[in-house]
Amino acid sequence: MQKYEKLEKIGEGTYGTVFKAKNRETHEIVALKRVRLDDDDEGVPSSALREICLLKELKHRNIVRLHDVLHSDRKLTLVFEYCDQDLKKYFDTCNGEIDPDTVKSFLYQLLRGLSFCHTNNVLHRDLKPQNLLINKNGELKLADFGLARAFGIPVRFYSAEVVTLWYRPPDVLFGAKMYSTSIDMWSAGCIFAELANAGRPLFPGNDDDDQLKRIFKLLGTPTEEQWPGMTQLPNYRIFPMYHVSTTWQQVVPKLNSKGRDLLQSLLVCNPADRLSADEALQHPYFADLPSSARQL
Amino acid sequence: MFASGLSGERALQVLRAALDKEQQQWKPIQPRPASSIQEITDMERDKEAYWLVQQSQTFDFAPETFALAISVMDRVSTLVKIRPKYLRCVAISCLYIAAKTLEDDEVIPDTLDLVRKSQCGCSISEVLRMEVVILTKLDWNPKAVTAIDFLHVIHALLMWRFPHLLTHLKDMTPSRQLALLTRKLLALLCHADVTRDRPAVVAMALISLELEQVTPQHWFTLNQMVQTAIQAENNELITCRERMTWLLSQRGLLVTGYQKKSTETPKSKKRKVEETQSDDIYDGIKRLYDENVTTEKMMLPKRGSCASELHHDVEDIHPFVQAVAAV
Repeated sequence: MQKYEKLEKIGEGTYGTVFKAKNRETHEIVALKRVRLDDDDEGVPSSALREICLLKELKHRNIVRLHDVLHSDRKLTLVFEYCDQDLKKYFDTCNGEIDPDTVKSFLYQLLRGLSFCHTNNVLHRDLKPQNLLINKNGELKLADFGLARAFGIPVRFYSAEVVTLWYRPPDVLFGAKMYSTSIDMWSAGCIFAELANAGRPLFPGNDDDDQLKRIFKLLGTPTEEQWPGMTQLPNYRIFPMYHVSTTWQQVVPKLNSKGRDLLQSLLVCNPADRLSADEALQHPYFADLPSSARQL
Repeated sequence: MFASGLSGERALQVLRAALDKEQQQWKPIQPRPASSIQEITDMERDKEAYWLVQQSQTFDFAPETFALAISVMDRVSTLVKIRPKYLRCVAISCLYIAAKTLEDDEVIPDTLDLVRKSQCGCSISEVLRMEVVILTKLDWNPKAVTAIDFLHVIHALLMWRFPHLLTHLKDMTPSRQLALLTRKLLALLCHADVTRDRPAVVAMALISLELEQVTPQHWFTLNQMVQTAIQAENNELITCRERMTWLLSQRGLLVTGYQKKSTETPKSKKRKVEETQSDDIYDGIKRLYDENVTTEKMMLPKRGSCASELHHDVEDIHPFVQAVAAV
């Protein structure tokens, strides 16, 4: 690891420790994700291998760049571009106030990164504020592709053990294994509401049941008619028929009506009716996005 | 349950992306020496590929995973001389790498299970050492586009453009046909000869041989259409088709035995398409074409008789070709 000088520990990722470091030659600041290979008998962690393979294919300004993979002494080091902080930490420092333009710009960049993933047949499957990196100049980048996967043409059963609870869509909470890009769109909706409320999570559930209750209390319990196939999902169970009692204005008071409309189109229980990333980018909410934000 | 939601436009996009990747990554695998103690031969490679098909089934991996394992093994063999005695260890490690790359965690066995169930005869530490050696040789880039990927997308495009291609056939549906084709392709990938041609051409040659049986009158037109879509030269396609004709006939897989629908009961059932085995190849195909479901966005509504329909489709191929050529 002569090439890089370790500066400080930034945090613990899904499968390794992350350090801030400096390239001794170019003085470029990078983030090093370090994985020990001799911790168990499983060799190279599948999450690390998936992240490497997918990020080698996903080169985009709103997706964290993987510069290099180094292997030495039973250690694997992934060299990433460095970002100042993640969105979770940003929330902690914003004092309960994020200006509407920043909310719009962050969501726009999140959707643009996501659209690129989906066009390239990649599902992220773990979108949450901790996995969105922010730079001082207002750039946002998707990171941590350890749970991501490529999807092909035949529809397959995938793992239902994906996405952190608060950002997990109702179909996956009901055990759906046949999902596609809509899985990420729900998470994007949750993050949008959280951005609009300056870091207050929309559905902070304690377990699967509580999570679904919180969702249905806000959106109304869906019926088989509204969501054909729901009752056949592997872990489907009956919930009380909650009727919508809160208005979106109460849920996201600082968001304008176009923003509320976009949010509602993302937070749809039936995955088939959820907006896609490309569609969301075309939404009127972004009509007045400053050109400086489009260029980020 | 759900419609696959795949549109023809989306399939075209997938095809273009796959062709781009192929152009960037793919290199032909040269024939290996006929006999050597220093290095594996093509025959040894093929034997190991057969073993990998079986292992892939044991662990319930998708056909893509098997195809990637073979691709990793072939690419590694161009970078290092693999001694015959290490081949088994290389093979199982390639399968492990392919599974970690493409399968979800609940499908990936732990190393102990991998070694035990496969009876590969290697120790855990040997497999793990080999895993790192292979990944380092491949510059940590094991992923590659394979003929299975092309088979899926080309077949999907055909079914999208010609939804009535199979309607005149008895007991034949798009998913059953794709399952049959998948079986044939898995067998073909076990022949080193198939690695001389690029994956898109391999998939296309296989589909071309099938189209000839499905629609003898129109296969040539369809063939040309697919050929334009994958930008294949005549000579590369012809060579590949000939090679595959021979390989498939060797294994008794050339003739599928399609039967036309008729009002009379057929007298001979000799060549009835094998139904049960290939139907279960994997569940995803049926959902792709949503045969058990009412909503299918990819398929067009049924119109007219199959013969006139096909004719109509063939006359109307230009938008498809243009759409592909435009990119």
